[in-house]
Amino acid sequence: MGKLRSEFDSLIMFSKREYIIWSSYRMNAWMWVLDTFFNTTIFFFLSLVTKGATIDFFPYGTNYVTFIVLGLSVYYISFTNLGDPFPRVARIYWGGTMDLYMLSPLSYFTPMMGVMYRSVIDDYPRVILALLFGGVFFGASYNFGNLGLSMILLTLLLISTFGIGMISASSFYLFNFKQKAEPIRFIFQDIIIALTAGYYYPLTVLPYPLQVLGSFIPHTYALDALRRLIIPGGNLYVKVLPLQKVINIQPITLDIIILAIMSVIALPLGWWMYIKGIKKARREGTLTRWQ
Amino acid sequence: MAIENIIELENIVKTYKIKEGFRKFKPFNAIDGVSLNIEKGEIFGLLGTNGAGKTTLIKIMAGLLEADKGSGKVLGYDIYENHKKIRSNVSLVAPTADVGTDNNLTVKQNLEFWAVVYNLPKEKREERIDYLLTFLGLKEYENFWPMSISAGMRQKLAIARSLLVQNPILFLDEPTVKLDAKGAESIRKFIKKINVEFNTTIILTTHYIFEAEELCSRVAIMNKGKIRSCDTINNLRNNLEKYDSFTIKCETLKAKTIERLKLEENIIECNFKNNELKIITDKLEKTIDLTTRALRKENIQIESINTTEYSLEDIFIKVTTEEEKI
Repeated sequence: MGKLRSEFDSLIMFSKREYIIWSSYRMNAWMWVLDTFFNTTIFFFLSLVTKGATIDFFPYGTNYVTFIVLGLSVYYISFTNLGDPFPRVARIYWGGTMDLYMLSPLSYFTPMMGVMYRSVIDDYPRVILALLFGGVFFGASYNFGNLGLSMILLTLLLISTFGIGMISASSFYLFNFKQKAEPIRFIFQDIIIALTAGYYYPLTVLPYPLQVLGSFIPHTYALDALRRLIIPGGNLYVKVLPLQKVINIQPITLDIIILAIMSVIALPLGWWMYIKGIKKARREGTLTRWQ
Repeated sequence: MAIENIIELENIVKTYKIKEGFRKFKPFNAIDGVSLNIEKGEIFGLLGTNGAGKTTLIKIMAGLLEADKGSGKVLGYDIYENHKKIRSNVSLVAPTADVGTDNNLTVKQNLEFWAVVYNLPKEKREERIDYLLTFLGLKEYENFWPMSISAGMRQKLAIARSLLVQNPILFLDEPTVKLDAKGAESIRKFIKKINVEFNTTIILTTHYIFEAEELCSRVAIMNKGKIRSCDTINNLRNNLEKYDSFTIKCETLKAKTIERLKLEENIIECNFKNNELKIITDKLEKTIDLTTRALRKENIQIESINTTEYSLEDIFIKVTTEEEKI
């Protein structure tokens, strides 16, 4: 219990540190709000283009702005959870602080999660801002009738994307990817997710092979379920994803099951690989660049 | 009273793989059969040129690097089985003070951050930080950004961080490198103070010989991954007594002349620096005669000849060059 408490205290301290740093650049904070605002604005204008066109958003209702705002929200979460662990581990390595963290009683993971707070502070509130700007300025409407279920989906999305992020981060030490380019993150984030996550368009508009490729990322299931639940007029029963057509369960239930399976696989795997990577680095003398 | 060894290493070997081309690696023996005992409460110096293996050895002792072969105990913990225990009972200051120092936080905020990371009990944090700031002369800078204080002060901040938790062993890797003379002197003063005040065993690496001479009760001279000599400075001097040394002051000297002198049978070491030719020999009179003749032959005016006492620098040069001669 004492150990858990000290890990928790350290995480709080990391978050304080990152907040002090983040908020010490006031201009940065204003730009941050404006950036989220203009991102939402761009998609509002795009929604004007699509207005009246026969684009099939079914079963996700008819409000493209809401559709996009939810896409942006998942994008922000994924950007942090999946994309951030690798550069944060790299930051600890290049900054030479890994040795100092190793000399502390903290677990191997706490420092990495701690330095990730910078992105958490930067990206998570964007979800709220995007929902807010969308609703106040651009006509997005939300159905929060299933808030509990939406929260479960959000939690599973957080865990599964963080698991993949951990796998990516572990490659820094395990496979010695010491530069900016990292194949695991590149394949997931820049190829599969960029093409098939469906941030800006429904997966159904893609060629079938790409729809199948999209079946391997958590974003597909999170977005499918969240859009059905939150966009007014969303249909809870019609099956559109390749796996939904194969397995005869209600779509949202299937989305939750698959997200849970992905979480259960990705997080422990990422955890295990990260420990392996640290142990390998301790053997090879590559924990920090300081040798 | 029996001497208590806080660190015991036996025949430690560490080999790195150095990249030599595409998918080609060659082995490099960073540590090559090192055996070492360090006593509780001493300031122990690891002396050596760049690449001698000092940092690698420190990392092995601190539990940050796994040795390939050999055995060892630090604070009674096995270096292979209990490396986590070792790590949480030692402190370390990296050669660059900026490692672990966040320039976006004030001096005090930096210490507050690490106090939590190092799990210093909440009720002791404020008091300990305040004590260390005063102890190291940082109190008046506590609200300064690290970038706005001197390099010496930043090094003190790094030392303060390492002292937050009172661990029995403190590793200082080149603690005065990059500091000016005044800053370095101040750090050396505090190293002695820490050793006395907290009874901390300090292991420091340096390539400044005078620093080791000033601070350390014992030194190990490292070269090419091996410990060439390990003893008190006095004992190292005594071991050299079979040799003598002398200096000849003269204006200039050709490299060729020095090389020729080095080949002489009775000359152990010979170097020319700051208009002084320094020679270590096992036959003093014969070598003085031989050297002066050689210099006069080349019309070099000799200003003075002095026999000298051995400094740690002489010992260091002898120990590291003897190996090369072999």
